[in-house]
Amino acid sequence: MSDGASRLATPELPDATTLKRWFVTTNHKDVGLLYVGTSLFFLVFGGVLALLVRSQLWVSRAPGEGLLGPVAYNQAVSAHGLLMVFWFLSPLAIGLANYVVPLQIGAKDLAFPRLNALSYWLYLFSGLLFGVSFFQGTSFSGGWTMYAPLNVPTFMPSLGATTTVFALILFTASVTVGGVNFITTIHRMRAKGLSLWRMPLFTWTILLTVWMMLFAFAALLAALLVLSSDRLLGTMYFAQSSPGGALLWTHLFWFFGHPEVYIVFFPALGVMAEVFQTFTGRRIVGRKWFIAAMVLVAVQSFFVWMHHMFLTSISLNVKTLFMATTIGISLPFDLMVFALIYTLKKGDIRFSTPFLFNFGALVLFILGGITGVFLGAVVLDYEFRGTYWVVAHFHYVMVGGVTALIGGIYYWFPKFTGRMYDEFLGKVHFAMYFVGFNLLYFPMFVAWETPRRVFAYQSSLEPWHQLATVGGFLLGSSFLVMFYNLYRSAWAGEEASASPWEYASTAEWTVSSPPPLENYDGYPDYTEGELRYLDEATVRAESTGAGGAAAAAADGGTLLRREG
Amino acid sequence: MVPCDTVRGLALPLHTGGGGLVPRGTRVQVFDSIFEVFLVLGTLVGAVVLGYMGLKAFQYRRGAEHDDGDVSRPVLGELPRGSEGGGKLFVSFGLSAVVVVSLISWTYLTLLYVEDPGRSAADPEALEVEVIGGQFSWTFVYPNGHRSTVLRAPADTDVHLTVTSRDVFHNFGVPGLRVKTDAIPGQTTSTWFVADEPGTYAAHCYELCGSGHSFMDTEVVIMEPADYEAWYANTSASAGPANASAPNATVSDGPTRLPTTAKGVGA
Repeated sequence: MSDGASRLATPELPDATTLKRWFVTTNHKDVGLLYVGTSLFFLVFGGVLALLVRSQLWVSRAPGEGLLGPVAYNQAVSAHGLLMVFWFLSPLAIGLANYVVPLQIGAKDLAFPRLNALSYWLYLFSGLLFGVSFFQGTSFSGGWTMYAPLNVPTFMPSLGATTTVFALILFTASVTVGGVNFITTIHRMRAKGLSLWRMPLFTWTILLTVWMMLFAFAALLAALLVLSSDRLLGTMYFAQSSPGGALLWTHLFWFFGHPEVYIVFFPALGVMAEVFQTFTGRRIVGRKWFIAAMVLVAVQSFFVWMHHMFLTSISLNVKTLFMATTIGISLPFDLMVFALIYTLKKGDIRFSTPFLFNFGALVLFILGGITGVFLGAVVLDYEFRGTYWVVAHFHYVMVGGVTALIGGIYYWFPKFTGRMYDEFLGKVHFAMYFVGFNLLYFPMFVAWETPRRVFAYQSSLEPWHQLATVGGFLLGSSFLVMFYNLYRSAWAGEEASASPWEYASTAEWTVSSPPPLENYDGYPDYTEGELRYLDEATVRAESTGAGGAAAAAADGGTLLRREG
Repeated sequence: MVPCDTVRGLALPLHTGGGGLVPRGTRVQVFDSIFEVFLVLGTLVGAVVLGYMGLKAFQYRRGAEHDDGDVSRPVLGELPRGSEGGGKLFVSFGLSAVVVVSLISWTYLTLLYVEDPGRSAADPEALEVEVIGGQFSWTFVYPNGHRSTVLRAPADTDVHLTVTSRDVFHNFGVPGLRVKTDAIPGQTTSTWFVADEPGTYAAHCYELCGSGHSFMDTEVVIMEPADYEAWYANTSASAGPANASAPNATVSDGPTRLPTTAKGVGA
């Protein structure tokens, strides 16, 4: 695709039923599906590790008892966290974004399709490399936060740990390449008349996500490169003998790590906003403020990292500052939550699977948010540090986000495949998921005195951990229902129209399901206040000033009107 | 000696004016009173918000009786825009902001107390103990140089801890006394506690530190002050484990070695 002309021509791609197509494709919709599929693979990978952890926690164990030995347990805990945060959550969101964002903004593809494919393949291989690390002695076993100096060879000499660090670097490369691509696309390739303020909310969340990624992952990359140098070249930046080494890691890691929370959560928020609007039949309340709140959070997310370090040697003044910024960043979320809730009012609400998942996600996020305020009180945080309160809180937030993204999969499934999923099985999935989720994570609040990442705990807490384990298996098995439903429906589901959801309003629903390779028949244009497709002659006429927009609508444009 | 004259529980601090509003006392009392307030308010806010959300979702479900004659619905291909209702949004937002900000400001006053309880480190009655974390045990160093792997301290006495690590990042915590702080190599952190009554408390490591992390536990034995004095008088600098200020043999342990100092399960 060296010039504009060849870009407009239909690219030669093998048929979608052939394996070759998926190896050579650069089309954003194909890459999106590859991302979604691969991320679900890593969900299973990370999920099985979590079930191993939960099995080990069935009763309080002495060393060497149970399924996992001490080092195996630490590996399972660490790999579960890393895989879920890096290789499942973000890529699932990026997969949906790959498919949906160009369609929502009226672009034929992302700005750099080959770069997009590169970003996917870097992602896949970084994940496979992580898998390889399990076969090189031991994988990384220092937790997903990878604190120094436990992460240096003195304490973690295995080759597998180095491989894990390298896998993360490769993943960062993928994220950076992908992020630049989305930033360019969203800023430069929107349909005429679609200003930034007017962008659909899902696209807004993705735009903010990729901007945050660009800066946050730079800090992670710095930390990982220095760590690689320590591991491979024998430098001593993070060594125990380096007086500031351990703190340096926590600063670098959390400067990345806190924005990462929003990087992971924002796309889920975008899905919630879209699904709420469609299934309540209401436009979101306070849209402008919703967007402003998100922009504020995106910027402020870089100024709260030290709240992960309240018990380190930082001074009271710094603690005070970061307590204030932390509370500050929680308030915009209040506004977003209320905006979503008030959108329900005067709605025509249909409890289909996508809405159930997103409604559930909001419930979980509210619970995660309230328990987060506990952590914002430094005096309480001192005692919650390193306990299951933190584990329960961030799972409510993070997996709450997953809940919305799963709803997003159901929401866009008819667009992806041209077929409808089975609604009954979708609801069964939701019921199992929601019950399993709360059975898994709520007992962790009750048993919050359990220290994190241990498998020897107060035996009086055993019943709660057993409930959690039961919930974990229920949550895990609910995905079997989803996989079966999606697999079967993709081939044998009822055929879906271009816009199967009543009140859906964004542009992806104006094209057929699945959309043609080039997305649009004509040029999407919003200058008249609503989407219409212009033919080439009209666009040329408009750009040379020969005809005004009104004339264009009269002679070339196809106004889009569809009755709900 | 410690002024334990202050509040216990939730009701008191809210009903005693002036300084009584800010929880003081031992760290257990401080934590309990704040945690309880948060738990009550958090449950209340959660119930109201989730209840309202559920109610509206139920009221406006398809097929229910509700008047939506004047409601404009989203149309395919429209330029994205919002609905009315911003005013209500700001009232709710303002309310939640007031609740959150006042709660946190209130706890901030307690934080100031916890960070500096008004008893300087020079307090002659206070006991100063150095805590050194190492894979996978704790070493306590007393003012006379005595070293021990179990922390003994008198009841009703201010105990100041200066905490560091000789190898990796650990975190020293005694949940029963609500005291916790990071043990970071090359850095020291300090914290304090007061135990009301004699007894034995469990201490754990709260930061993943290697293969023996699950078992990096020890005991904190709180003694009657007189018993403690008697015990302390019999200690000397030579007792206890090997010199812990220099990295010892366990430092080079790979993650595959089991801890030799594991104390058994839980506590």
